[in-house]
Amino acid sequence: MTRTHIPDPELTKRNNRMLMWLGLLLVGMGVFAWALVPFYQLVCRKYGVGTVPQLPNKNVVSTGIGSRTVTVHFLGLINAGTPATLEPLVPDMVVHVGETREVNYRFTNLADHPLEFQAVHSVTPPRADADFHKLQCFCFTRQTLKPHETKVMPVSFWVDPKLESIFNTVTLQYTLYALHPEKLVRR
Amino acid sequence: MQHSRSISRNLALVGGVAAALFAASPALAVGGLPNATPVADRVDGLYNLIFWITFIIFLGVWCAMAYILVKYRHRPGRQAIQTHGNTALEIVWTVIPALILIAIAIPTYQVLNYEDKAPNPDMTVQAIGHQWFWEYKYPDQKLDFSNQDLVIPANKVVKVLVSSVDVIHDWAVPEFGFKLDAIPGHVNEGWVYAKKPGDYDGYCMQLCGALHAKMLTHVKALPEAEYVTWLHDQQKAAGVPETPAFGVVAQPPSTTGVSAETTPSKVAAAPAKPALTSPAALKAQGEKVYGANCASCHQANGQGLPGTFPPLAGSEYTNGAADKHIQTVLKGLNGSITVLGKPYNGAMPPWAQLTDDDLAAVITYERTSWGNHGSVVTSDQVKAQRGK
Amino acid sequence: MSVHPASVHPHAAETPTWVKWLTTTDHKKLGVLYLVTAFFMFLVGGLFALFLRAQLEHPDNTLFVREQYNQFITMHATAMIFMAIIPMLIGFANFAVPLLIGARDVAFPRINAISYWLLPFGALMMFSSFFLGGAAGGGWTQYPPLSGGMFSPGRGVDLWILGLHILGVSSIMGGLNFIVTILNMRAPGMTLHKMPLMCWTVLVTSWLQVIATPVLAGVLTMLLFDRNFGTSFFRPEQGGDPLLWQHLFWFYSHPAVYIMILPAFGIISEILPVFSGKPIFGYLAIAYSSVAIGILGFTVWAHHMFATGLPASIRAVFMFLTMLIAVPTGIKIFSWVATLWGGNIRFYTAALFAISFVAFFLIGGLDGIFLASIPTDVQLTHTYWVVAHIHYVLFAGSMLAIFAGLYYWFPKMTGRLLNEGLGKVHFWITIVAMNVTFFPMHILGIMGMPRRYFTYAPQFAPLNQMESWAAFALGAAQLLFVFNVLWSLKKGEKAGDDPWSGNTLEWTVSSPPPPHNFDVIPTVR
Repeated sequence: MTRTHIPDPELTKRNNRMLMWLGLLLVGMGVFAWALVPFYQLVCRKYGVGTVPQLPNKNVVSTGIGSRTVTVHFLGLINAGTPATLEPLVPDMVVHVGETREVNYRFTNLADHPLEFQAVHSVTPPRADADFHKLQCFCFTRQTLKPHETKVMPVSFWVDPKLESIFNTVTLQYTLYALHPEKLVRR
Repeated sequence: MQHSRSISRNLALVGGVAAALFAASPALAVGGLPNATPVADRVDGLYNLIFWITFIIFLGVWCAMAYILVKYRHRPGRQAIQTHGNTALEIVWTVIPALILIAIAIPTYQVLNYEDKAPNPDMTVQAIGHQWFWEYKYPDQKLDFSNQDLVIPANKVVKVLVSSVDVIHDWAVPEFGFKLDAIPGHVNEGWVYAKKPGDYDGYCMQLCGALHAKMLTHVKALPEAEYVTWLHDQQKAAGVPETPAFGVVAQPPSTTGVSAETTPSKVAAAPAKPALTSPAALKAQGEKVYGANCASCHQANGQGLPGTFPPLAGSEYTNGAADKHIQTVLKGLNGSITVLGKPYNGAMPPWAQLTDDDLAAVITYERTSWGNHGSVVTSDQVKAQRGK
Repeated sequence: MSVHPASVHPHAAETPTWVKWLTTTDHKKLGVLYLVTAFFMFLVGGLFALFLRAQLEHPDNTLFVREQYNQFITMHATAMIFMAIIPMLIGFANFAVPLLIGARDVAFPRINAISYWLLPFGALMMFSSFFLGGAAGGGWTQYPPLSGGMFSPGRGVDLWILGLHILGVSSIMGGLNFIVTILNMRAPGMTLHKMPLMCWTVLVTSWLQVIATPVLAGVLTMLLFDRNFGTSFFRPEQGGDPLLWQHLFWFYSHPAVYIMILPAFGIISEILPVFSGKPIFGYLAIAYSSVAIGILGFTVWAHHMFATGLPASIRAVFMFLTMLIAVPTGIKIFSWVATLWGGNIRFYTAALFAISFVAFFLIGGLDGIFLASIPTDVQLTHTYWVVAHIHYVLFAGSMLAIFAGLYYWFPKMTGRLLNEGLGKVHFWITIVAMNVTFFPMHILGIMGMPRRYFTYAPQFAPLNQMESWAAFALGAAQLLFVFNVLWSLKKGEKAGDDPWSGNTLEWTVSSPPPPHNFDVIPTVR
């Protein structure tokens, strides 16, 4: 190997020292990258975006019922490869802000074997998510259903009076995932 | 060392490319597609503004360059003018672009706000992406179509809820100015107001696998009357009850109740209502309250849901002691019970937040409908049961 | 100091040339290796583009459809970004920067060699997927769930991830090397404000590589784990979110586009003054606007996500920051035009490419404004307008600058000039074909033609056909360039030390430079 320069020990020391600092920066950026994951969840909870599930907030109790009404739409979706049905028993409900209401969803396991399910919630408009408080929800935990079992499970919620005044309707969608989904048929 | 020749050839090519761009510019200036919604109108207007601004900048730079390349081409004996910079000029060409961007930003915010602040919807549809087709649901009308055109009324505000059941798709109708990602686990909302009836092309606009290019769709906007006819025909064909085409099929709101936990100052006082005394009046009001609050579980016909929600028709609760019935409604009921010989193990929420009048009405309704022979219940009786 | 001239050992075995190249740590040779390897990958990526354009030549074509089409679009973009454009620019940085700053080599020559060798290794890993069950097919952006285990079974995505990891390490190592080199090893008297603009842009690029690439490594690893080890970063059913990928991916990939353009800005800033015969106009403005672009580049990632349903207020913040970047970019365009003004312009091929960069990169910058403004972005994103923008900034931008650099520095690297006649033919065909291929994509975009489609509706057919034929002409023109290189290596006119009357340090030494670059390290006044 041809040496293309005559080594200068002073320069080498400076170079190595700078490399060391840059190496630390590199490690720092690596840590930063992984720290972005919980940071993302934090920000999403605050702004109510993303599929990051809202934490159960049983302690957030309504302080009073207001006269303002909001229409809440309920949707249920089945993710691909999930042998189940999920429907709200009512498509919508007109509620007062601050008022605790309950909506029930009917789950059916269509498979011949027991399955564990997870419902993932999503609220639109996105900024309404933080104002939609769930006291009790089947989405907080995994649900196991026996073969061909039908279960009706409630979501108990209230809409915060702080909800922006331009929002008259809030849509709550649950997407149901089987945790060990059937293999998809590839087309 | 070769010298280059034929500046005219250079210019000819520069001119040729510029001419081609000029020729193409009417197509760009018009914005391409007919605008079928007010959102598309505004996006198109913004597009035109940005187009003319950028076109003028483009023209300015190209004309300057063409002039410079001719005037300052190498000539024997020419000396280049040795400038390093010009502070005034550099400030100008920093500030002016910034101002131009502000000029673009202002109408941009206006259009963004217009689109974001959706008007009250006349109806709602869901566009659900599958590999590789679109499913359209009408949640309030209980219709569900896959792999077919989306039919909507023209001149009505249609809320579109976009989601997916597998990978990320995107529901886009360029003539509407509509585009929204369909993300599994998420629901996104947008709105469409077709200015007139017509047939509009839709596409999946997010790579979703092998047949992404084949996930085409159409939106048919029908005149209102035709749409309503179509809707009711579909409902009949699907065997679902006919519902209004527009507006939300929702239970009316519960009356403003004073729940036991609230302080009076935080709650708007409910307007005083005439006391419901006659059984007929109680029953009529009760039917409304029942529909809004109880029917979701116990069903409109009082039959409940086998295995899940006990029936009210013929039940021991609705035909038995009034006090027990009132307590059940006020406090809710958890745990194992038996109704008409069948076990139930559910959770019924409390209804103490309803007014005494409403409670009296709904309990009366339950006790006197579907063949039940329970007694009529008054609001005084309900009041007496509170706190017990 | 003892000296061992070759004459002392007359029968010492002479190392064969190919071994010298394989084991070199000389930045000049490594620079050439980068350029040759990456140019080859440019031809491979270009070949894939021709597959795509052949398929799109008319609707309902059956040459490359469905999964195969998706694999080719994925690997076309991946090859061009990570194996062609970035490494070619690094190749120029390698060759030129030590010479430009009056140093004998980079700070860590052996790390430099490893950086280079990771390039062919990474490329092999990526392309092996074609022979191991199929390449990744989720686009170079690989959004989950499509890129996840359920919808992309097989090894393609995993090999793509591993290959990209290797290329990322190469990129990071290069970045580290150049930061230390530029900050510590400038010739005496060369303050930061006296160093050539190529070095400024390479310095900012190197910082972007070191800061951003670890985030890419992180998100790639998360996808690898989701696919293979049961984690759920991106899977909603276990608390994950597909949008997390998009945020993290674009956090890297937006700075990545500045990695792809900043060194190009540097090359243009070196070449235009030489062929105008006057100094660069607005040296400090160009230097510091490059820094501004580098910093701002980290703040705008979500402008790639305007159609995902983010709240309008969040989108507006990103829009504002994105529009801001137009200002430092505009400053550069105007400064380059002002550099030409008042000059004594010599239209060598290198100059033609550099001038055309200014003219055509401008189009890519301007059409980006439509994408910065949210309402027009929502209309144009996911359509061919974006394809037009990408190719104007990367082909009419980066590639034209790369060609300019190749014609400019080839004589310094090899001692011979590239043939000017062939060069001009290559130039004109490239310019015309490039515009006919990519400009109509703007129109297709506003007509609503979606991107990543292997077939399309009939109304899009005439423009697509024209673009396909032009693309083939564009490809053929590059073969002309390859021929020029091979011919000129043997038969090209000898260049001498300074064929262009340049004004930077590399032109003060022989062509090619001696191994140690400078007999005496110059002092800069």
